[in-house]
Amino acid sequence: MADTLDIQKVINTSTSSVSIDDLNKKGFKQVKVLNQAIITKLIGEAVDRVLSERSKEISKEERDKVIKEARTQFETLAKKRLEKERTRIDELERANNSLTTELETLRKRLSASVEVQATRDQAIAKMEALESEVSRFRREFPELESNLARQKAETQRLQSDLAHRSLEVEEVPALRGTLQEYEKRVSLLEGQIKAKNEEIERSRSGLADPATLERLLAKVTERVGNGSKIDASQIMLTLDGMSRRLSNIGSSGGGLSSDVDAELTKDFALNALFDKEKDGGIESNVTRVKVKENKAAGVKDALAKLKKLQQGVADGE
Amino acid sequence: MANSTEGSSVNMENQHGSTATKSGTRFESGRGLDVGTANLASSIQDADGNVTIKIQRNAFIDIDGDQYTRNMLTKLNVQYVSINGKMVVIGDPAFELANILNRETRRPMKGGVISPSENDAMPIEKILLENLLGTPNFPNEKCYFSVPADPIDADFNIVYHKGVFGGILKKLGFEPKPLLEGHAVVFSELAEDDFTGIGISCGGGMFNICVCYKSIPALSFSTARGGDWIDRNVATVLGIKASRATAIKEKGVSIVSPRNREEEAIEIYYRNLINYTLEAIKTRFESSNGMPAFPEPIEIVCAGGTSMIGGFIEVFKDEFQSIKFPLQVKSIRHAEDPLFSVAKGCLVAALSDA
Repeated sequence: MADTLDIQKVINTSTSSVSIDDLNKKGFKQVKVLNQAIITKLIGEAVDRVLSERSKEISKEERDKVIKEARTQFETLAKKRLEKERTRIDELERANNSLTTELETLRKRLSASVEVQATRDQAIAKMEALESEVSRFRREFPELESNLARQKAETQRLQSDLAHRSLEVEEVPALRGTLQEYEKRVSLLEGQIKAKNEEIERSRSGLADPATLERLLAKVTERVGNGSKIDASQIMLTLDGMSRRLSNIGSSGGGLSSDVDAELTKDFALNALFDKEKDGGIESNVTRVKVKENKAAGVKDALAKLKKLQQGVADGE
Repeated sequence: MANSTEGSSVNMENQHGSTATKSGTRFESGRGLDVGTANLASSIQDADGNVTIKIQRNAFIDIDGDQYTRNMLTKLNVQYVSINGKMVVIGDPAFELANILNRETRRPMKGGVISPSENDAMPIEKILLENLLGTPNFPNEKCYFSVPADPIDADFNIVYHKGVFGGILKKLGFEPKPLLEGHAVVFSELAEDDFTGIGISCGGGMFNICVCYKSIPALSFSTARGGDWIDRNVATVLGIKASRATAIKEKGVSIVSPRNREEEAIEIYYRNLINYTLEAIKTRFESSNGMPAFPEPIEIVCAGGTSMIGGFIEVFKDEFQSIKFPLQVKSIRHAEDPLFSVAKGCLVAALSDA
């Protein structure tokens, strides 16, 4: 069938493909669609018309045969076309899916990129602060260097001074020897003075050591008891004197001489120390707050022993 | 022995010097007073022989105060004194406040005697003493108060100190009687040995030493280092306030087994102080002519707040072994009530003199 009409070719050459999106963009909301049956019908009518005009020339059988062949050819072409369109739709769907995935990936990348940008901004701020600090150090550096130089100079001066002092220290042993010699002389003189003082003290007041006094008392008592020829009245006077001295020491608490106690019998005014009281400017809550009281171990035994000892001394025991 | 009763409401003196009050509690006549650099302590004995000690830290601190503060302090049992509008908290709360505020307390006494830099503190000192002693139960009741012996390592005497405290006691109506601090320790702690031995009062400002034979002091002297010296040095090396160092020292440290840097510093200075004191005693004994020749080995008793740290006696014995002591010593021991020992000794002297 070399002269068979190629309807597919005719359609392809006489039509153009326009996507629905493009049509939509161009403002076409509705389009008229020629489906396969109508086209076939139109072709059939066209062929019938042509053939009816030529009917005089061809038989009815021949005409039906041509129509049948034409229909078969058209259906084959339409089927192929349909399959091709379906394949294309599948491809478009796959491409669409791929683009959706890619879009999601890009969105994620964009989000990450924003975070990176924030981190970068912070890093830049820190770097600027550090640069500022470095600049400050650079400005201060000359002064620090100058200080260091001064410190070095001072250290050198001190080292030099130390060396000078070391030389002086070397002279110390000689000076110490001289000093020791003087100390010996002073010590000797002090010893002589001390011996003289002791001699004077002994002759003035007798032996003050209580242990020695006791021994002396014992000896004197022993001598009197043995009927010695010592004057008894003189011994009694001596004993009375010793007893009075011991008694005085004991009754004054033993700690201080009567001369020292006498200081306290004077009524010191102490006006200057307590002048603030006179001004009447003192206020206190002391009397309203109770001081903590503690119970301590008794002193009765100690007191009894002390009194007994004092009584014994007073009695000349 | 004359009897008296505490309180001023109904004081009535009878022929024998005894008085009575509403409460009916009867007290023996005579008071003891420990005038310490760190603490002030008074002592009194009732007719049954019970001894009561009142103790107060000898310190104060300035604070800004208004009427509200005054009321609150009274409610909190905190004593204050306001002098010409300037307010100070006194006693133990002052010490606690100093630690909280990271400040130093002001101290009326320094190195065992009246501080030359705190003369304005004397009215406060008088109030503290008045609060501890109360009023005398009868005019001129005897009050024995402790005084330090002359120091061997510092150039000052106690004449002014003794005169001022004697004057304060007179103003309060007592008859003041000074008693050497070390001697008071002997009265309080060495009765069993016929008051023969060595009493050492380890105080905040000084260490006071007294060698006694049958209650009579043969040799008395002091060294101008005490608990404050430790506090100052520990504070310096640790970079803290002295009040803080005192608080660390008093919170239960043992100088035999220090547990941290602070306690190690305290141990070092304690050892140094004890060794320094023993060397001073030894030197003084060796150079003295008045030293009695004791027929028997004697006892050494340590008293005072500075001796109350854990391990004090062990370290004292340890350091004692390392020196050649010129006297035979049978034992070294702690006082029965180290913090109250001097006040009790003064009380013994007062009661024996009544």
